[in-house]
Amino acid sequence: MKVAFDEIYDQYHQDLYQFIFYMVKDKQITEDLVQEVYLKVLKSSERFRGDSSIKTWLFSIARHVSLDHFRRKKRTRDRIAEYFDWGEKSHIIKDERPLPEEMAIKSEEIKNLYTYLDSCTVDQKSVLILRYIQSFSIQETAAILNFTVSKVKTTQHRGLKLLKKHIIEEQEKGGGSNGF
Amino acid sequence: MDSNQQKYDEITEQLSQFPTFTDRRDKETIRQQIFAQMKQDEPTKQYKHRKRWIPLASTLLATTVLVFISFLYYSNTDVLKENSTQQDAMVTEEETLIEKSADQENGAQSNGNLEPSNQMGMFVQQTNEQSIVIHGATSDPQLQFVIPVSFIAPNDKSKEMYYNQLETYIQEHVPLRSNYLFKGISFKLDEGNKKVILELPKDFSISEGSTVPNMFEDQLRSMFSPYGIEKAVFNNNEGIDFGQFGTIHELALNKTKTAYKLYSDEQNNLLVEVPLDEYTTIEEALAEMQIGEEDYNVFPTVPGEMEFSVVTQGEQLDISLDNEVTIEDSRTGTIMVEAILMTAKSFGYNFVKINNISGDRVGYYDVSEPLRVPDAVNPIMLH
Repeated sequence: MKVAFDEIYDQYHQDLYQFIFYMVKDKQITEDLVQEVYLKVLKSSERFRGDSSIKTWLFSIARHVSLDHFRRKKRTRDRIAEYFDWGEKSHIIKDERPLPEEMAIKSEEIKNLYTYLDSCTVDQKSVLILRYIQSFSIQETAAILNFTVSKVKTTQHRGLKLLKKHIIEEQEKGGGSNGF
Repeated sequence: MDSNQQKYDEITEQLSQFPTFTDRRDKETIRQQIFAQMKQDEPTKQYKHRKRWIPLASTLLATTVLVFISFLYYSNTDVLKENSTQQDAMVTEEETLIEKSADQENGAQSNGNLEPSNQMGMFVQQTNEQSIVIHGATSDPQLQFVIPVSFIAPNDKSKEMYYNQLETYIQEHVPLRSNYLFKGISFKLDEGNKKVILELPKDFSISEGSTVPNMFEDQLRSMFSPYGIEKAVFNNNEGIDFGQFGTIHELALNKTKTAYKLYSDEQNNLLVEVPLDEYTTIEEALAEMQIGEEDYNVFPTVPGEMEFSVVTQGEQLDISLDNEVTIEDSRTGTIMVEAILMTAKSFGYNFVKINNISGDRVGYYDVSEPLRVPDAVNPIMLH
């Protein structure tokens, strides 16, 4: 089954961009990764068997490309960590980039939540983005992530629990800064 | 409504209010960028898909029992998928051959040759003085997963000699449409200093995107970390153009935790490596093995409905099944056990005991006793 660029772009481009952006939180990287998704999709579209919907297939590739990005990022970080001993906590590096302008105008709670998303695992983050930011159903989310419905529910619950923990900690500190 | 639920509702409400981010590029710009990239990739693609079979008579003749077992056994299996009557018939025929092969191997073992694991030879438990394992690696055609391949070779030649013929061995024995990433490179092992030295051909570059550099690094790790090698050194003045990582002169090859899944296409059924984060627990790794990536022909090795708990006892991993899952197909069971053993090995375990399973056997494995983790996976015999 051959899938055309126009078909994907017209129906899914903005959703695809949105998903990858919230995964990686960088517009330039998002553009690169979106392009990588298109390349993979168009190069392998003849192999698309139609067992799943194009949407599910597309987003599962987007997830894979995002995971690949995180692996690369981790490698770079590991290489840097070889030179600078940051100890066991070296994997938790605060994101110092300014908030994107679309987010900067939002309430303090939403801005904090945006920051806390980074404390979630990649799976938790994927589920929360698909379910609540992009309003995908549990079934669609399960199909995209290749999870069972019950795994989506568990992952979703754990992610929300983690966000709640950060919110409560922030409230107890009495602060409203971006960070955790 | 309890306060917990109220808090969760607030969070989900706030998430739904997150702003929409839109791509600032227009459709035509994106189209042009993508098609320009596709065009740029085209020569590589043609090269990648060119079949290059160079069967050497001597090696073909020498490729005996174990190769036959590896590919025959795994071939045409629909792992964790439904079996057809036709496949069942094929299995019976294959299993007869495998058992015969295993008997032959046992005979060979007493003559001082290989020591196959669990009477099957799917894995190499350990080799003796006459044999060495050459850990090779290739990938799926889309360069997403490393496929480790272990060549069992006579110990009368150096590892370097085998590594410098690796492209030929892989082309001959692994029918995958994957590009060989180490073309023109010669390897020199310095196990004393835990490094492998790569002599690069002039103008060698792997800067194409980020996928190739990642796969290059992952394959090097898969090939050399089993020997305790910790870094790869590029023996030229310029270093190597490593795409977005810039020019580098050496690469750290640290062992990583890995989950093993199954790559399955018309011609191959091979275990593949899925690298895991260093903070992943063995329980999470087993859960990862329940997930397939079917768009890439990668399938789960642990049934999705299986629930389990794990306990560590020193160097042994105890896995207890919490529900009853029937594994109808002996091949599926065999592959599951092997994938679990390899995954456990990457977490540092030496033995695995599987409890609460009906009967003493899973596939071809007797699970009434702890199973030793193997030396190598996807073995191919060279003579």
